[in-house]
Amino acid sequence: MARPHIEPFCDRDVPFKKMTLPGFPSGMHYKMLSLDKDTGACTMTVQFDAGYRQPPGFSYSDIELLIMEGGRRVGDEMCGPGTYFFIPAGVALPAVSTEAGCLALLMYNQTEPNFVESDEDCDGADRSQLIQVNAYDDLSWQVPTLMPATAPGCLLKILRWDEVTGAMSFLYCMVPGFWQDNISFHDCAEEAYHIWGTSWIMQFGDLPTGGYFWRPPYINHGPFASDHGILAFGRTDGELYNHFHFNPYTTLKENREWAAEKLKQRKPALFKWIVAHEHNHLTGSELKK
Amino acid sequence: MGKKRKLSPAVRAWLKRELREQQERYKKIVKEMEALAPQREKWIQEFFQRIQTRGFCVHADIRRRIKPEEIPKRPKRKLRVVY
Repeated sequence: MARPHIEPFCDRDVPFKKMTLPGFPSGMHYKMLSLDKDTGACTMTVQFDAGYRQPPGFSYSDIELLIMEGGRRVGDEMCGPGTYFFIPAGVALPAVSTEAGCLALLMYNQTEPNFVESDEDCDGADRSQLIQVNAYDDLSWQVPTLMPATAPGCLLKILRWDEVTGAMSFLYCMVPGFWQDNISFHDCAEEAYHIWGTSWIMQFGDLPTGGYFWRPPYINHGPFASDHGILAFGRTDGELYNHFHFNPYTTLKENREWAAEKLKQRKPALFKWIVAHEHNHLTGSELKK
Repeated sequence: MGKKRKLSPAVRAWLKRELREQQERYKKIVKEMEALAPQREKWIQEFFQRIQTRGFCVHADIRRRIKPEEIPKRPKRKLRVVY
C-alpha cells in the first residue's frame, strides 16, 4: 500500500471538512488521516451530523468502520460506540441513519471513498466476509499470543483476521503505568488511532487522544509507555511479527536485512526454498484455493 | 468487483487536493520530528541506562540486562525517524 509514513498526527489539530465526493449524502464530514496515492484507499475520522440519512447501497472497496461516539441505525438495528463493521466490496448495507450524530473511524481499503445506491449486492460480492460486532460489549480482552510478545499490560480484541495475508484489525489497550523497553519493527505496515489516552514512543514523543499513525514496514518504534493507559484501534496489512532489538540507530535497509537473517535462522528450510531458483513459487491466488 | 473504474473529473480533483494536503502534513511532521531531535537523544540515553539496569524486554515479562559493551554506538549519519 502506497501511503507515506504519517507519524505522529493528531486529528484534533485540524477541522472537519465537508464530504463532497459524488454519491455521498449531505451531512458527512471528514478529517483525512492517510491516503494511498496510487489507489485512493484511505483512513478518515468521520462525523455524521444529527439527521444524516444514507440510502441502501454498497462501495467498490472493502470498508471498515468503528463507531467511537454516538450511534447509527443500520436497517432496524441501532449500533452504538464500539461497533465495528467490515463490509466487503460490493456488499450492500440497508439504509443508515443517525438521529443524534455519530463519530467514527472509516477506512476504504482498495479505492477512494465511493457509494453506489442499491438494494442488492454487486455481482461478485462476498457477503460471507461481512463482520458486524460490538467490540466493547461482546469481545473480551486477550493477552497477545504473538512470539515474542509485547510487555504485560497491552491487551487485544481481534476484530478481523485475514486468513490469506494474516492482516488484522483490532482494538488494543495499554493499562495505566504500561512500559516496554525495547525497539520494535514489523514486516508489515501498521496503523493506529487513539480513541482515548496518551502513549509515548521514544522516536515520536506523545500520541494523545485523536492521535494517529500509518507506519510502513521496518520502521523503528519504541520503547513505549503510557502513564494513564490508552484505548486504540489498530490494523496491519500482513502478519504482525515483533522484531525486538535495542539499537535506535538502525536504518530501514538494516532492519530488512536483519529480518531476512532471522527468517534464515528460524525457518531455514522455508528460507532455502524461497531463495532457491528454478522452481515454481505458489502465488497468493493459488494459496487461497 | 476489482475492475479498474474510470474516475470522474470531480473524484480526480478531490484526490489531487487530498494528496497535496497530505504532502503538506508529511512535511510538517518531518519538521516537528527534526525539532524533537535533542529531546529524543536524551530519551535514547535514558533508554540505554534502563536496559542495562531494569533490562531489555525480550518477550512479555522476560527481560535481559544489556552489557555496557553491547550498547550501540551512535553512527555519524543523522538519525531519521520519519521515512
